[in-house]
Amino acid sequence: MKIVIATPLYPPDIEPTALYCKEFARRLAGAGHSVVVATYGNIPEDVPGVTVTTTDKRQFLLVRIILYTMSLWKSIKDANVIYVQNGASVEFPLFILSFVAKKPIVLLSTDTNATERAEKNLFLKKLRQAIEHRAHLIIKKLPPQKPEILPFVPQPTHALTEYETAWQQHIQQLTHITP
Amino acid sequence: MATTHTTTHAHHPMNKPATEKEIWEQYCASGIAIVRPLLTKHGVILDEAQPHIAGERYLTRPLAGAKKLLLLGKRSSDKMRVVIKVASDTAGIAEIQHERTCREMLSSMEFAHSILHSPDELLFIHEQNRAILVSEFIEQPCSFTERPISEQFTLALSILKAQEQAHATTHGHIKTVRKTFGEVHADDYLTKCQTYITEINASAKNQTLEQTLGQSLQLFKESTKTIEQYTGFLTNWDLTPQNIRVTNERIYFLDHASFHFGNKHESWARFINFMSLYEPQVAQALMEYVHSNRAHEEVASLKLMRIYRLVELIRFYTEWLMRAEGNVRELALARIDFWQEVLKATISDTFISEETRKEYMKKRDSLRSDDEKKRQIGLH
Repeated sequence: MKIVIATPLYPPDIEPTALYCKEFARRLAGAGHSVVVATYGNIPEDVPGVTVTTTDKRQFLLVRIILYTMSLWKSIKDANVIYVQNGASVEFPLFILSFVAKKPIVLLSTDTNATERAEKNLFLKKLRQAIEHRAHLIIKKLPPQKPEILPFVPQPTHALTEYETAWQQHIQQLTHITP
Repeated sequence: MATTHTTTHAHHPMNKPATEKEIWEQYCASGIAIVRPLLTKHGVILDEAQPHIAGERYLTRPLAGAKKLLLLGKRSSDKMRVVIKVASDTAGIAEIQHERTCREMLSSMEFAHSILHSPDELLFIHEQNRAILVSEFIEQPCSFTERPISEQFTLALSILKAQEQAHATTHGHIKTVRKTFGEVHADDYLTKCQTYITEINASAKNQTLEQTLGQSLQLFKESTKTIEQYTGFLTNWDLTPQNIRVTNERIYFLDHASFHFGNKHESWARFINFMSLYEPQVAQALMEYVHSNRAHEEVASLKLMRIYRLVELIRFYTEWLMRAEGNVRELALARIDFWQEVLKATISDTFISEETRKEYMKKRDSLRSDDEKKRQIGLH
């Protein structure tokens, strides 16, 4: 199955949603899927088996939105499912493309900053509602962040087990609902 | 220890040209003589003893760098201890003004404001062709390296993580940060690295060092993409314990002029290299943290930035060879040898032996002047 993850943030960005997308892509690729991450950035971190396409964030807003839309179109035209991390820079291009590419969409509505921005701006709010309307599934809770392994303290064995279990449940939830 | 009474002479009796140390001492004495009444007028009394202008301080700025006096004093109204920065040359005045701008900008960044604190600015005046900045002196119960090892690690990690939260990526961000902090990319690091190596080789005339530097440059050239990958982050060029004070669980940064946007491991590298000498366990713990929790590209980037910062440090001490004499020159040579060992170890992903470190420290302490030993007390 070809899966596209469309996300505004991806490592080296350090936000939790960026780290989530990388881990999600890694796990999907590990399960034998063909995974493409369409994101903004310059030089993304590498994940074996995952193709990451980037659009330079340093361009003017309009230019980068157009370039991202073109890049996303190339990725999604033969995709089976699109996972979308919330954020206007991805939601808007996807909204445009959703008229021509009728693909199942899973909305990862977990970036609280993007949600807050959408609440304060009528255009962003309407855009969010449009994407939610097109989404087959809306995910509002992500697995916890990976517990850090720190020197001078015991290995967080229990937290690591919980983390792994949460991810397995998360993947199961997604594969159960999406094609 | 230098005092505000210090009267030094720019010339030896036999009309021998004044040494750099003598020129610095005269600069300090005349500067203090002008600044003291100005400060008194504004309610600040200078301390008699001024440890931060003594010892090796005359060498710790680049030849063409800004001249700044770092003085201690008290506010006359309540005897509160204060730190005074004074500059009279164009570069020094610009540096003080830049520091103020960076401090204001940083305090407006939400992420930074809650973690990285700044001492309060009490006075800023520009009088008699001098920029004078007076800030509160942050008292701390003990110096950074006197804290337990695990606490040093936790503090360092929280500072480094806080910096990482500022990532300038979009067109709008870049415009703002470039104007205030300045921005460095992989090509800039590479150009500087090449220049430093050329300068070291011209001065040090050391074949082993030349080979190690050649190896460093080769690694750097092969991996500019990895360096570029982690640029655009807020980083501090001089993140060492001497620029941090910790009190009541609040972390204060003392040197805001050293903030810029560049490879995020620039600060990590500076701190880890510094700790390789002063607290190797903390240096190793930070490396271990990165290996256990970060992407393999981050591990590679940190190694490259450590190499870059070590080349920079060796170049710094190579410059001393032309400016110092006697024990200080001898000490510069010992430092070049020591940091070369650290560089070799970094290239081969190891740490220097405890024996090498202790031997160097013994030699360093035997060559340091009394003034310098006093300047070092509680510094880190």
